[in-house]
This record gives sequence, structure tokens and C-alpha cells, in this order.
Amino acid sequence: MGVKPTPGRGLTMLDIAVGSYGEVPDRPPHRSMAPRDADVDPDTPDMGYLLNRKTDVWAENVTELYEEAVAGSEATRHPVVGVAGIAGRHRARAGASVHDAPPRSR
Amino acid sequence: MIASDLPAKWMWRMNHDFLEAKMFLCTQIMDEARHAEVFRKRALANGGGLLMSRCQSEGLLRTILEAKTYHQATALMHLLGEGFILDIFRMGELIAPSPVEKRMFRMAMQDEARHVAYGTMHIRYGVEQDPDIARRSTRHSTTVRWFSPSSGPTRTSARARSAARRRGGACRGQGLPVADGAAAQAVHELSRPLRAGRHQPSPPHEAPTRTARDRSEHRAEPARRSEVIGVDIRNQSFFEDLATEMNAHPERFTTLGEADMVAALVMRDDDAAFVVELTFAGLGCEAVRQIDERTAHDADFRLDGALDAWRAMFDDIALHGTATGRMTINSLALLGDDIICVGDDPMGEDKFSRFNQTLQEYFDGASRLAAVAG
Repeated sequence: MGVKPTPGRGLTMLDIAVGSYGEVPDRPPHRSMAPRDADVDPDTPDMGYLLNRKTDVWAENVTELYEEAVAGSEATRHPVVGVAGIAGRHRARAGASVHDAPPRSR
Repeated sequence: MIASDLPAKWMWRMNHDFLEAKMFLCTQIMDEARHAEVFRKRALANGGGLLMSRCQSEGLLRTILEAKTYHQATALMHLLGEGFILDIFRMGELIAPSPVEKRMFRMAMQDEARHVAYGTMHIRYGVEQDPDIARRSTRHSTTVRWFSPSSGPTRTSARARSAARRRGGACRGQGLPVADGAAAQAVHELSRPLRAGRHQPSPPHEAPTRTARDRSEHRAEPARRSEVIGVDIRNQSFFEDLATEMNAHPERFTTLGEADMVAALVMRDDDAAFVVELTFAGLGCEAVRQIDERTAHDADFRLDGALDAWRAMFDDIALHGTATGRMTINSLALLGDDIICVGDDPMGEDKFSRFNQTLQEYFDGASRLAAVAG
């Protein structure tokens, strides 16, 4: 059961939340550290989680907020990857729309 | 560090299938570490001290830390605590004496606004999905009405919509209910006397924070400085130039992170209003377009003020290279005398704080346009 994400603005957590992996269960079937949607060994120990309902912790915008939080710190920590990567993507994408603006009337 | 300690207390109890929620809380812990570092360093850098820590605030922090459930904890922490601190940071930016301190507060308030956004939408998700949570909340009818799923349409951010499209599915609403006309009118009527009350003379025993002389000087500024920037700002091309300036210098914005907001600027003259909509995406300004006042309600938030106030702000930027004193967009909107920030969706209005430094940097680009023109 593979999934194939399509990168948008880089490969974000929103991008990889596709297919069955992207479906966050209301009541997860396991209480383990196994990744969501993975096959879980039946002998896997119970980690004893107490917040096991999606309503306990979830917010619809939580993945977006995560991306927002790391976007700035990524660029700060990894100047080559962050600045060149993010800025390059931005120039290629956003440059066109502004330059396509209607002629000035000043 | 309560906003670090509290998520740390609860995270190991969260099921691992809710990975994204845990990851977000990790970023909150890191945010708070940065805040502790920057404000501790600022407090001690010049040989100052840390003054008195009051027992009342410690008692409140202990109440938050000892909340019995995560819902209680997050309501106390993300809504009450972080919401309060967000206002403190906004006020700090207003009174900060130097550009460096103003930037510190703006960067910190962006983080706090993100934490408030999580808490708000978390409580809403619980009320929407779990009848028990909704029932327990009925004692607080105002809160329930605010978060109720039946309260009306919600908005989604451009980023979430884009990701949803790539996933080939619809994106569920991520905003709060759009206030209806009567509710919005009630809020505006309430805010008017509050603003007026702020203009009352301070009692003799209190140091006035803003004197009548301050205000009269501010109001006199537009007349003195209206020619500084030398450009008619009621023109779409002016804001396109600012967008081009922003997009040509992504290095100014990388450390701020990617922005995702639509802002409408409303400039009122005697007889008409000029309205321009700015769409920010990633590290730049993606689109600029002149719109009518009605369309402005589709934006995340509106910055609405007299044309003279906007001119004064841009003149200040052109003079100093960056907005100074009470001419920063946060200060102007916080005082609300000349320019106000309003939005029909609280999650949209929250973006004014979440991306405030990006917006300020965009406006500050006017100084470089002025330098080129001059």
C-alpha cells in the first residue's frame, strides 16, 4: 500500500499526508510508536498513551502551523539548503505573477 | 517556560498516530526556548536586573500546569495564557524604544499567534466532533457559539487548499465561523467606546502613556510630511513596486518564514476609499490588485484608515528606512486611532500577528523605492 506524494512548496508534511497515510484515525487501533498506516507486529508493546481520541489533541490547521513554524528556522539553520532552496522556488513561482500585473497607470 | 513545560507534560501521553500535533507542540517548545533566550539576554545585556516575580502569576502558571485534562490545559494555556502574552508582546512592540526591540517583539508575537491559532482550532475541533465536549462547554454559551460547527461557513488557507488539491480531495474548513452582520456590528460598537476611553486624561498618580500633545503631533505629521515619499500611494502600481522590491530580496524574508495571508488595505479620503488587496505566499507578494470595499471582506484581515495616516506611515518609512515609534503597522493597529485591523474571521485576523514582520518588511520596502526615486 504505497503512497506517492506530489511536492508543492518543497515536500511538506501536508504533501505527504496522502492516501491511507494521510487519514488520521479518530481512534487509533494501536498504542505504539509505529508510523501511521504501517503494519504493526502483534507483539509490539503498549506504550500506555492516554490521549487516544483525535478530538483529544487534533486541530484542522495543526500541520499547516507546523510547516509555518519550521519554515523560518529551516532557513536560519541551513543557509544553503534553506535560503537557496526556498528563495529559488519562490523566484520561479512568484516572479511571474507580479510581473504579469497590469500596466502601471502612475 | 510554562508554554514549553505544559506540552512536554502531555506529549508523551498522546497517541503516536497524532504525529503532526506532537510535531507542532515540539515547535512550540522551541519557540518558547528562543523567547526565553532573547528576553533573558535583553534584560541582562545592559547590566539590569530581573526585578520582582509576583506570586499571583506563579499561582496562575501552576493552575495551568496542573490542569486535569488536556482540553482544560490547552484552553488555559493556548487561549488564555498565550492570548494574553500575545497582547503583551504587541504592546511591547508599541512601546519598545529601538528598532531591534521592536523586531524582537514582532518576531515573538508571530510565534505566540501561531500557538493561539492551534489552541483555538483544537478546542473548536473537539466541540465539533465530540458531543461530550460540546455538552460540557454549554455552561460557557459564548464560547460554544464561537466554536460551534453550525455557526456558519469557515475559511481555509491558500496553503491548505493547495495541499488538498494535490491530494485530490476537498479541504475542510480551517477558519472560525464568519461573524454575521449583527455580531460584527456589535463588536464594532463595543470597540468604539473602548477606544474613546483610552483618550481620557490619565489620573494624576499614573504616568500618561500617550498624551494629548502626542496625538496632536501625530495628527499634524501628515501635513508636514505628505511630500516625503513623493508618490501617490493610492495607486496599485505603488504596491506592485513594493511587491517587486520584496520579491527581488527574498533574503530579507527567509528568516521570517513563509507567509500565507491576504491583506486588504483601505485608505479613506473625504469622498472615496482606495482599497488594494495584497496576497502573500511563501517568501513573497504573489499578487496586488485594486478592489472595491465589499470584496475587501474576503481578505484575511483589513487595515482600514485615513489616507493621511497611511501617508504618514509611508513618509516615516521613507525618512528613517523603516517604520519607527508608533508608526509601525502593529503600533498603529494596536492603538486603533488612525488605522484599525479588522477581519470577519478571527483566524484570518490572527494572521496579522502571525505574519506581522513580513508585512512590516513589505511596507519598509517603500524606503528603498523612495531612495531610488529621490
